[in-house]
Amino acid sequence: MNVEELVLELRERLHPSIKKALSTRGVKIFLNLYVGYDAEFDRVLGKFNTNEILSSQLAGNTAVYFKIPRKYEYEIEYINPASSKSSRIYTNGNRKNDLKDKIERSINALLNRRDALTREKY
Amino acid sequence: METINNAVASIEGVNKYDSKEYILYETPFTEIKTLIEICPIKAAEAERLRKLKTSSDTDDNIKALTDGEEFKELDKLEEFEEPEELEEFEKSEELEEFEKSEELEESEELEEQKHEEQKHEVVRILDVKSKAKFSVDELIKRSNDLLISDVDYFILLFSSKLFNVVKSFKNETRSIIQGDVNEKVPDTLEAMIAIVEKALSKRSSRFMLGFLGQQISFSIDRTLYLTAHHNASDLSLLTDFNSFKDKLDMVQKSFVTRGRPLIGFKEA
Repeated sequence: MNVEELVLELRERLHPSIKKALSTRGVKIFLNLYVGYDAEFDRVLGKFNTNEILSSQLAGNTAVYFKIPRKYEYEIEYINPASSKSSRIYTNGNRKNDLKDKIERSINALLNRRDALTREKY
Repeated sequence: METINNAVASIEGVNKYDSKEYILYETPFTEIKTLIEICPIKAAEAERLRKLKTSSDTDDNIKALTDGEEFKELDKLEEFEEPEELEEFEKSEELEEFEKSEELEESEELEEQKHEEQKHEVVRILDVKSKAKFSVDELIKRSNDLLISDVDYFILLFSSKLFNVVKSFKNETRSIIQGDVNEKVPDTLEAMIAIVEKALSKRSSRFMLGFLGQQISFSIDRTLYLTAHHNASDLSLLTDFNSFKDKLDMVQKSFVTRGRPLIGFKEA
């Protein structure tokens, strides 16, 4: 087994929320062109009744979207496998809550350390 | 990321939306550009037929319409010559000066109006036989051509902003480590424009910019949303409708594409 394979296998076993936090995110840019189309036509009678273009109109404009990632504190989340939407897990203020905080804090510390080693220069 | 964030935020009229994981910036919509194409002879023919159907005139009128006198006139349009200039009337000097001053003002206003109209609207006349019918590819090409100025503007804007960011980083890195800069960072603005242009030639693409062994990825998605009202009649006019109609879905009596785009983006 290679190191790469081992990393992949370990990654598969991680909780989806941790996997998401570990993934590198870049800048996303969406260039959207919106065009409306309309045409006037006339019916031509014959063997097959067909339509023929008399005139056509196009109208359009554009908009650009920039999606820039930001640093956020890790929280244990439920991630929908179908839509990949995340939703928060709420606790009822019992012992489990303390445990959740502990886990989150320790994972956050690890993630911060990883960031310091790799991305701090940015 | 902060420097990129600041660079994007400095674009005029940009709207900012905050979320936990991302900051979304939305630039304002550009001016609407229109392209009108007319097939004059076919339009005249349709009007003639409509008149024939609707008129309850005498037989003489119908004969006149069916003789096709209008067509003869339309055929003559190609051989149309400008009329000779009219003879100038004798005018007093004061009147001429007054008229000239008025004309100048009017002409300036007209030129401004024309310039504004040209920005927004383009009118093109379709050839009768060859270009009256067109395919989906041509329709997409036309809509891309219509908005090519917007795309060019975006390329210039984005690459200049990005180049400034890269430049600032370069200076920093050079000050820390002498002359140790990764090859991936472009040296000139032209090189940056070339990178962004290449990325935009596909529907979605990604490019990396990095130095000192670290990288930032930029992914660009270029999508064309082609919309039409009651498009069943509009799309059926296209020449290759039979070849792509299987790929379309029907939602409330109109054709739509769900998920998969109709045609993969080729080139602007």
